[in-house]
Amino acid sequence: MMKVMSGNEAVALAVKLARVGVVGIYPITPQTTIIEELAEMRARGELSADIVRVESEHSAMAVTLGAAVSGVRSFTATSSQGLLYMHEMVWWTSGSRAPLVMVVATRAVGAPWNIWNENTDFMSERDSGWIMAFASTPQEALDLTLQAFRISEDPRVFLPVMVGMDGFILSHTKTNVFIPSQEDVDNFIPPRRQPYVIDPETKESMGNIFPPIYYMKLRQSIHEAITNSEEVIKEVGREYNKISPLGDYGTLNVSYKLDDADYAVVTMGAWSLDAMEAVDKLRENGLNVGLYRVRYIRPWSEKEIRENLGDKRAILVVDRATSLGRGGPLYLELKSTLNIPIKGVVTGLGGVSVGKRDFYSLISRFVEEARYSEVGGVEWYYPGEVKEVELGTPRTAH
Amino acid sequence: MESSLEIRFHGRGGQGVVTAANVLAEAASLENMFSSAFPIYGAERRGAEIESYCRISRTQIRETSPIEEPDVVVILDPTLLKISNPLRGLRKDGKVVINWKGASPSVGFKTYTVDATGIALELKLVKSGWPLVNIVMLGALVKATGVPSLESLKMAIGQEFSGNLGELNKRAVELSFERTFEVEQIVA
Repeated sequence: MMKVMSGNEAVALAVKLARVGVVGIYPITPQTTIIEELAEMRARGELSADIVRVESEHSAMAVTLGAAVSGVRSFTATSSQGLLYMHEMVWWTSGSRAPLVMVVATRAVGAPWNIWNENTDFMSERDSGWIMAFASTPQEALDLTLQAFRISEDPRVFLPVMVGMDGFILSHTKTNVFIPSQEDVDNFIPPRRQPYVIDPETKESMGNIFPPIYYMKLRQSIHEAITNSEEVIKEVGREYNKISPLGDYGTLNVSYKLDDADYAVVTMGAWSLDAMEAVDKLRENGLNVGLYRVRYIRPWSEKEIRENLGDKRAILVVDRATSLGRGGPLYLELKSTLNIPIKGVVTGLGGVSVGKRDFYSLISRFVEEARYSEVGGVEWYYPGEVKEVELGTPRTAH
Repeated sequence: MESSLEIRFHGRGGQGVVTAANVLAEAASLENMFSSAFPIYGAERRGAEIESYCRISRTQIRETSPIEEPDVVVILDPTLLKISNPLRGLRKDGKVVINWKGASPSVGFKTYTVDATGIALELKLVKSGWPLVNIVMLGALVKATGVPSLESLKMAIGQEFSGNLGELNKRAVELSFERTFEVEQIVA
């Protein structure tokens, strides 16, 4: 069935279709309408899950984790400051090898206050031991959320999964979404099974102190579960393709017109589609370029990336996030994967709007540079009228 | 309609500017077209200027950025013409659909006027003292562009609003469709 819905509505529907048992909720823009929709579904009697209202995101994840280790499929969602406030419990969850799913509708981090889109909140969790996927459309937000439950609960993985999507640009844009049937989803996601359940009646416990060597071994087991999850994700993706006619989930990441391209642009999230428009236009004008969209930041598929980008003359990596002082996280990851010239661009922070014309200009300028010189480094790009940026320290007198 | 149509809505917080774009997107999707609808979000305040966007296309929509060169501008509150520039970027052959009573304003584009406030008051489509003109304006938009059909629009209204509110809004778009005037503008 097709329906016009926002990214947040699509995620809430996926959570319902996955027959989740517990949802820990605490509101924060732009994620809030996910949990509002779930609460309304519960009120209408369409959802049997327990909706647990808490006083903070830290507790939202604690409740979701508690439900997960007691054997219940559980979910939560957050953004920005909420994710940062939850940070400690994010690590407790992966360290506990607890399968659960969280959606992050991305948003810039304060100070100063800013409610608009940026991916730095999501990207700042990339060392925390979660599987991390990022959507580019409301459709993909629904699809990845459904797949996340199955990947998370696969015995070869047993890790939490974080699904990111651009705040407002995906969370609040209404567009056509294909909804798989409940029967298909039931067959796709089997009932939850886990090797242990925390219950007052049993002797199992968790969160005890681990001596050094055991602690390190646990950390290595998480590392290996993440790298090995690549095959599980592709397997789950192929299964999902059978229930969604629009699906293209046989690979972790997505190529667009890359085969014969000399140069490539690498992106993540919603603006990848604007970049595709630019790639088409550049090709019409004789520039041989393609696009590579990163869908999974963890696992980081070195194999797929080398196969798709290893033979390019140079690549341009556009980040909507920063590791301040170092450039964009995607840029840094690609630098550590490929031995080809790579230029980084940081843009779109705090809701700065970047469209197809900006991608056209960025890519065409990059190809000109790359033809005649060795490209590298990181550029901060401002679209439109901004030609010069004055960077003062706020507290110094002018 | 050619392959695609880009529509920008201008109004004030509380007028239902966002909902208008959403209902339009739903109506287009009922005719198996692709559509996307979204607003500019900020610190929303009742009465503040609000923009929302709707793209309709026969092929997949890949643009996610705000509409800067619309085919159609829909203006829910005509006072916005004086305090801001809702016509910015409108294509040369673009259309203006405006909530307007009396002699048509001279804006330099092909213009469609409808007294949406009058229709809303007539049908008692009023909330917290404000006439609800958002859906009324969609009837005029359909008259101006032919996209989507009035039938699809009414179906989408039925999906968005239940009960009496749905029926009133369906009646409202019938009236606004009938009472929309086309004005050929002389470019100043």
